[in-house]
Amino acid sequence: MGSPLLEVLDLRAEFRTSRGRLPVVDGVSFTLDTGGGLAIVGESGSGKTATALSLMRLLPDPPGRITGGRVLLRGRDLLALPEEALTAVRGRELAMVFQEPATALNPVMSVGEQIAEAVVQHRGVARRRVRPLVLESLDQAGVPEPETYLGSYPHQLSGGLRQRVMIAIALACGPSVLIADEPTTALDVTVQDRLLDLLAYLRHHLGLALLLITHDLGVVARLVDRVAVMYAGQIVETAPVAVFFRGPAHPYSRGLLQAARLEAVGPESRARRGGRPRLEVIGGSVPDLADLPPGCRFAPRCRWAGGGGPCWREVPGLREVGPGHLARCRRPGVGP
Amino acid sequence: MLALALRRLAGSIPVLLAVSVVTFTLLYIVPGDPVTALVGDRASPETIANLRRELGLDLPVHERYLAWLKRALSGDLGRSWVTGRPVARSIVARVPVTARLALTAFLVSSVVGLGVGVYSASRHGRPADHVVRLTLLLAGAVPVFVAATVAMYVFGVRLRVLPVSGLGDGSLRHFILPGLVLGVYLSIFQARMTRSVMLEIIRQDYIRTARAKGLPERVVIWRHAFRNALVSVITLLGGSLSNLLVGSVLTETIFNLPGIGRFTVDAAYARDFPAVMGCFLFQSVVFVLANTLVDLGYALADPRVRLG
Repeated sequence: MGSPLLEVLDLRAEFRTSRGRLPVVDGVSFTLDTGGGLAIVGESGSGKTATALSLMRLLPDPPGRITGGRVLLRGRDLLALPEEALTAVRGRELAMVFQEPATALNPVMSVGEQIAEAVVQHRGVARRRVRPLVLESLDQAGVPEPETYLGSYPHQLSGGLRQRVMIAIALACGPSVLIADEPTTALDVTVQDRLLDLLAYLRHHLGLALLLITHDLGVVARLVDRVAVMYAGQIVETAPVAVFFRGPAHPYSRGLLQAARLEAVGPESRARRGGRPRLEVIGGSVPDLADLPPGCRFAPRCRWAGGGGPCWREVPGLREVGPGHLARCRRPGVGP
Repeated sequence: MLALALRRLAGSIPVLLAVSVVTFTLLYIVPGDPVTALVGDRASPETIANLRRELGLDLPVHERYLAWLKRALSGDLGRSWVTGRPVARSIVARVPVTARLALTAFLVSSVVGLGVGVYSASRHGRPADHVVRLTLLLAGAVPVFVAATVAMYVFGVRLRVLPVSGLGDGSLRHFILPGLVLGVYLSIFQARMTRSVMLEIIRQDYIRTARAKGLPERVVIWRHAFRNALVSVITLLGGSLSNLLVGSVLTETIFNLPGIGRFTVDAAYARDFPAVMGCFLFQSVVFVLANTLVDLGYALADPRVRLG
C-alpha cells in the first residue's frame, strides 16, 4: 500500500469569541484511502462539521481559524497552499455536500448554471460545450430527465431534488474525495433512504472516497467502513465499522450506540423528533469548550470515571485497544 | 414583464389622485394668505377682493380642486401667480437641467458607492475595511456646502479646468462639478448600505457552496454574492434616482443651476398655488415611474419574483 489519499494530522482549529478561544477541533487525525469510507460521528457541537470545513479551508473566518496540523491530499499539504492553488483543489479533487440543500444553492442562479460554472472553472471546457457534462453529472446524481431541470431555479425543486443537484455539483468535476456533511438530515425519511442508496452507489461505482459527517449511527454501516467518534473537539474512538458495532471501547461511544438502538426500536418516535437521537442513556451535557475539564473531557458524564481519580486529572491519549481500533480512555471496554 | 409594468402603472393612478388631493388640501390649510404674499400688506381691500375673484379663491375648496383636476388632465397646469407663465412650460424647461445633474450624480454614486461597498464587505474585518469605514464616516460629516466650496476652489479657481457655477451654454461640463459633489455624497450612503447587505449575504450557505466549488474569490463575490445583493441594491438605486430627479435644492442653489428643486422651493415660499401643485404632480409621477422600474428590476434580478 502506498501513502493514503487523504491524511489529516493533528488538525487544530479554534473559534475566537468574547469568551476566549474555543478549541473546536483539537488534534484530529485520520486517513482516508482511495475509495475508502470514513464516518465522523458526534453530537452537535462536537466539532465534526468544523473538522470537515477545515479540510476545505472553509471555516468561517472570523471567528474560526485553523491553528495547526496538516491536511495531506496525495502528499500535498492543503493548509500550506496559497489561495489560488487551493481553488484548483476545491471542487476538483475535494468536493463537499452540505446539510441544508434549501440554503446551500444560490437562489438566483439556475441549476444548469450552478453546475456548469464548476465544470468551466476546473475542466477548462468552453461554455457552449459544457451542457453534456452538466447533464451527465445530474444523471449520476439520480436526477430523472435532467434536461427538464437545467433552467430550473432551486425554489422550484423539492428538498430531495435540491440535494441531488448539490451532489451533481460535487460530482461535476470528478473529485476523488466527497465530504458529505449531514447530507440527509434536512430531508424526509423516505427521501433520506434513497439518497443514502445513491451515496453508497457512487462510492462503489465511481471509486469516490467518502467522508461522512453525521450524528446518526444508523446510516454509518450502510455507507462507510470506518467510524471516528468525536467529542468536544477530539476523536475519542476510531475503529472499523464491524468492530465498532460489536464492541465500542469508549463509554461515550457505547452510550451513542445504545441511544441509536433505542431509536431503532421506535422508528415512528424518531421521525417525530426529526431523526435526531437523544442521548437518554448518557446523563449530563456536552462540556463548555471555554471551560473544559482538566482531565478526560467525558469524565463529568462518565459512570466509570470515579470521583477525583486519574480520569479527572490527566488527559487520556488515543490508545490502541485492538487491531485498527483506538480509544481515548484509561479504562476502555468497562461497563455493560 | 410588460404586463407587470402595465399593472404597476395602472395601480399608480389612484396613488396620483390621492397625492393631488392631499397636496391641494395641505395648501388650503397651510398658514399664509397667497394674496397678501402677492400684493403685500398695504393693498386696499378692494384690490385684494378683486384678486381673490380673479384667482378663483372665492370658490369653495372642492370646486377649485375639481377645476384644477379637469385642466391638469388635459395637460394644463395653470399659470404661475407670480410670473404669469404657464407652469407646465416652466417645469418642462427645468427638467433637462435637473435630469443632467441627476444622471451625472447617479452614475458617480452608483459606481463609487456599490464598488466601495462591495470591496469593503469582501475585506470584512481587515485593515482595508476599517480604512473604508473610517473614510465614509469622516466624509459623511463634512457639510455639502463645504465640500462644494472646496471643489469649486480647487477645480474652478486654482486648476481652472471646470466652470465654477451656473449653466453657461448648458453643456455637460457645467454638470461635472455639481454632479461629482452630489454623487460622492450619495455614494457614502450607498456604500454603507451595500456593505451591510453584502456582509449579510456573504454569510449565507450558498456562498460557502460557491467557495467549495473552487471558484476564485472574485467570482464568488460578484457572481454569487452581488447578484443576490442586487435585489436590495435595486431598491436603493431606485430611491436615489427618484430623489435626484425631483431636484436637489442645496446643490442647485450652491452651483446656481435653474433646476426643479429650486423652482419647487421658490414656489412654496411665494404661495404660488399652481406652481406648487405642478411641482408635486411632477414629483409624484417621477416616484411612480421609478417604483415601476424598481419592480421590473426585482423581477429581472430574482427568479423567485419572476417565476413565482
